Amino acid sequence: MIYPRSRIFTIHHNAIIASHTGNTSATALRTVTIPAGAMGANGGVRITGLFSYPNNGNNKTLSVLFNGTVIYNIVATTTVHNRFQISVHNRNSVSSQVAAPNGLNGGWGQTTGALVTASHNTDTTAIPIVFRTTLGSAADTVNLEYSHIELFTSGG
Amino acid sequence: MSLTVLSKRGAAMQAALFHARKRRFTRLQMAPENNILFHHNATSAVGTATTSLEALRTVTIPGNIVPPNGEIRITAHYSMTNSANNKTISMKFGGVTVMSQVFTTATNNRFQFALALRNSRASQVGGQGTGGWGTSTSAVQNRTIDMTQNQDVVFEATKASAGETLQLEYSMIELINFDAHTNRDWSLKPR
Repeated sequence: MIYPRSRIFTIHHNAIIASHTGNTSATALRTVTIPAGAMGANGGVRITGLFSYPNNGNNKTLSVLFNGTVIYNIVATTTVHNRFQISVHNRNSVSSQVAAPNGLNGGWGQTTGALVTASHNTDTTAIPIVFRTTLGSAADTVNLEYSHIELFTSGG
Repeated sequence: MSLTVLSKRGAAMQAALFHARKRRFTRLQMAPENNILFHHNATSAVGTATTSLEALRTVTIPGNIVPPNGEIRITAHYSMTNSANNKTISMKFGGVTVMSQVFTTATNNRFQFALALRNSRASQVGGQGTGGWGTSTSAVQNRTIDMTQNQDVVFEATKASAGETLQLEYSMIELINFDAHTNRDWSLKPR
């Protein structure tokens, strides 16, 4: 059987380090745009990445945003890296999305957090995926070691 | 796309096919085949009654098959005897141990490990050496494995008690053949 409209493929992959230091403002390390119309009503995106940072008591906030909606948000302190895989899925509508709770460390396993839902129109809006960090101390450095985005397209 | 390419000429042919499909994708507004399931085997690989390290399965990644901005993603599942004795799951790539974790009172472990190429077939970055997710105190793995040459992925097992079980239930290897030249998104168009 052939599913001509059901595919998974990579639309972004970058293992060149993107770094931030020097201030405590929320700062985008990398932005990747999902073209309008790419996802479809039953499509989605799977986002994988790796942040690294210094091991100390200062907060290092690691975030990923889907057109402004925070879909990953971890505050790291005394560790040195965070590897994650998260996904956003259209719910039989180009204007309805669901994702796992954004505080789920690594994006896998169990949590008591609330699901993330959103209503971005992925047919008419180009969706920026932003890998972002906020430093508790301007002296620290957060690196995005690599980022990978896969697109699901489904006939539903 | 052929997955049995071993020679430089074969790699060049693969690249030509890859770019031809990319052009066709643009023309037909369809996806390119850049997520490739290179290996999948769900036949149990069972070791012998020994406490020595055993290679349960070896898969060879042909040289030059992964582009300089690509990735190799490995997923596997082991089952084991639930006991207080150590059971060590490990994996080598290019002769280097890239993943290792010790288990005792557990019956299963599923992991996913990835090495992303840093704009070079001789520079890779990977996450946790346990195949886990989330925060870790382990350093990021920076590797210099020469992926212009054939390199083996070896799924390994070591038991502290020879009579126990530690077996590979399935293994899967994906190659992320992202555009080797531009390292940026393809121009997708609405369907």
